Amino acid sequence: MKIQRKLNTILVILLIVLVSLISFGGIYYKNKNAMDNRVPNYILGADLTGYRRVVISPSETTDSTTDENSTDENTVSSDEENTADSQNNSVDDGNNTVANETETENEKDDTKSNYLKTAEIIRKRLKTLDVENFTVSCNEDTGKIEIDLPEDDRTDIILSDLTEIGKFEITDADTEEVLMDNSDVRSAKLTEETSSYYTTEVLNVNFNVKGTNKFKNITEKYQNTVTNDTSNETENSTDNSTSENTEETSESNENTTDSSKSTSSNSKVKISIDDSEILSTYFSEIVENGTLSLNIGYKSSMTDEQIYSAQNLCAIIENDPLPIEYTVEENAYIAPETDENEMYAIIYIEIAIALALALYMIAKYRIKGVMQTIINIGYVAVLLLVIRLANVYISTSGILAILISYVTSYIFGYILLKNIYKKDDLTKKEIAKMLKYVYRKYSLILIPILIISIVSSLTKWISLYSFGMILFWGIIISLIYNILLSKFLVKSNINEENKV
Amino acid sequence: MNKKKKIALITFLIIFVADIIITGIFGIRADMNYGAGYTIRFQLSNTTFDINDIKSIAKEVFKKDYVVKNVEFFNDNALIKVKDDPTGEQRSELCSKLNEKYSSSLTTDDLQINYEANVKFRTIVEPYIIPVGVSTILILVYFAIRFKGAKEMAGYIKSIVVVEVLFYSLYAICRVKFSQLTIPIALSLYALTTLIYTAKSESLNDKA
Repeated sequence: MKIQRKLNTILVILLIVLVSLISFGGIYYKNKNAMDNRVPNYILGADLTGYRRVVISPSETTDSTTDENSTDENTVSSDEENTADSQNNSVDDGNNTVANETETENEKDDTKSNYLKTAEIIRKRLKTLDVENFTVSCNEDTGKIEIDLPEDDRTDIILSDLTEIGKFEITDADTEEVLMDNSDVRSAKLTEETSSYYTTEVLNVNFNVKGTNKFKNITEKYQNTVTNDTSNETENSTDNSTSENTEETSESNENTTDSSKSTSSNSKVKISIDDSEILSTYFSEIVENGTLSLNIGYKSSMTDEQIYSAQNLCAIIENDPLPIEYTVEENAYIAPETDENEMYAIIYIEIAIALALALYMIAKYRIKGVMQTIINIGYVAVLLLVIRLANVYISTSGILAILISYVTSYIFGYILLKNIYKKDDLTKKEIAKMLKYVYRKYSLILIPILIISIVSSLTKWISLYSFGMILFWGIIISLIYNILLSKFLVKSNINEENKV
Repeated sequence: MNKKKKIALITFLIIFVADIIITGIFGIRADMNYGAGYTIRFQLSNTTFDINDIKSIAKEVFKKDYVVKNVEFFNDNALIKVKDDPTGEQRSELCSKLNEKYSSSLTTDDLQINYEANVKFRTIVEPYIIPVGVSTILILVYFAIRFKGAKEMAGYIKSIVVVEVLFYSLYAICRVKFSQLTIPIALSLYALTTLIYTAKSESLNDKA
């Protein structure tokens, strides 16, 4: 029986060594005269793979009027020239010149706050777009804004619209009176609406309380009754539940405007972004829920790029328009911020901490401490394998989460050894009771950290997500792995003569 | 409250107040990735470089407070961020060293130098506030149910605050530079404190 027990122990150790070799080393096979690893690679987060650096600056037209705070000599001289020009031009009209100068002075005061406001709006737009790990910094003097974004499929599309002014307006089609703007919008979301035949992408603009009331009044004022003569128009009208493809609607509206002028001249609204018309329409019913639904297109016919662009539109509508026009000055991929040496430093520190904990356990629990340490090494190996197989992103936080996971496994070993150390004459019943106690205790200890891992893994911020996911897998594996292997560790404590 | 606890509390309060005062007066020191500085970007024509060589050259020219990054994927475009506006001498020294190493014909006019503002502390911390806040509230609820009382809850909050304030004092009082690793370490300390505190509470609960 004793030999059988020893053989089992050796088998478990060999199994752990094998898993560790696979995890830390890999499984290599020959593929076209090259050695390929069958174990998937780690997926690294943006802080380890690099990011996109975009520098935007106030466009020249804006500069001449607003970028007055700049200490740049060129700007100062151009201001002087502008002032000189304006003085020459305003000889005949002194009052206008004074008014213009006052206006310019006011703009001077606003420039700095406008730069900061622009940076804040860009930050909000990126947040609305669920972009992870971005940073936005603004030079208050020159107005230059540096944006760092993770590099992925969306990056270029996000950047294509990021500097749009984003002035969303609903105006009277005839009088151009602005009826609603960005300040009336609470949120703008891209959702899917499924009918029995197809799924459509719908842009829902949800208005705030003030906006809802305004929108209700607009739908009431610009409501047209459905008649036979204007059936075409009715089909194209925008209402809360059914609305047509934006482009199609615009085109059709133009056609119907010609065919039935009597109706369209009555009451129509124009929906536009940056003075570019999206849709000109009227309403078939009063909308009271404060949601304007615009059909973007059939999902099956839309590419990822089109969907990303529609999401950009949501981010633009949801947030305030930029107070200043900006242009992209620089757009380049930058290698990772976290230095390779820094990364190795973290890993070495982690190994040192794990080693110190292992030595403490060995010193305290001797041979059982050694066994538990081997089990813990196997645990890390299994965790690293699962991280790769589950395609979990690894960031700096994620690497630190591996250490915390190791500590959770260590705590299990510590509780277990504390209960079995120097107790070599336990009966099977006592062992089972003790194991039940350890499992229960360990599970209770893990609950708070499991909460942290679940909440973190629900976020989209890659650093936090990576931390949460690795910790989550670490806890789950720690529970299963330790429960499976702890039985081998306690078997030597069973008194063969006293087996019950 | 015994004498040891009183001393510990007073020490902690002094550190806490010192953190606030020093941050208020001097702010937090940021490393080159987060702090304000000047970026020098250049492209070497008809040649590629090893980023470690560029780092060596940057070290020779700027001595300290610099960071070197590769730009794009072709190893011919690099960016050096330095704290202070590079002097004319530094610019020409950089060009001559690069030309010497890579037989290029880079001039100071080819260097694109831009001022880069610092990243706001709020931008870095903001994404962590809600998840950490929600986790803490849920953990407190768990403690209230598990230990049937407010003692463990108060103890948990105290532990987290003490650990994080002491960690913060490294940056405020000891003037360690705020870097890419700061938030991940703070997050890990939060999780570790939670884990150790729960283990300790369970152990005390057994004894009771």
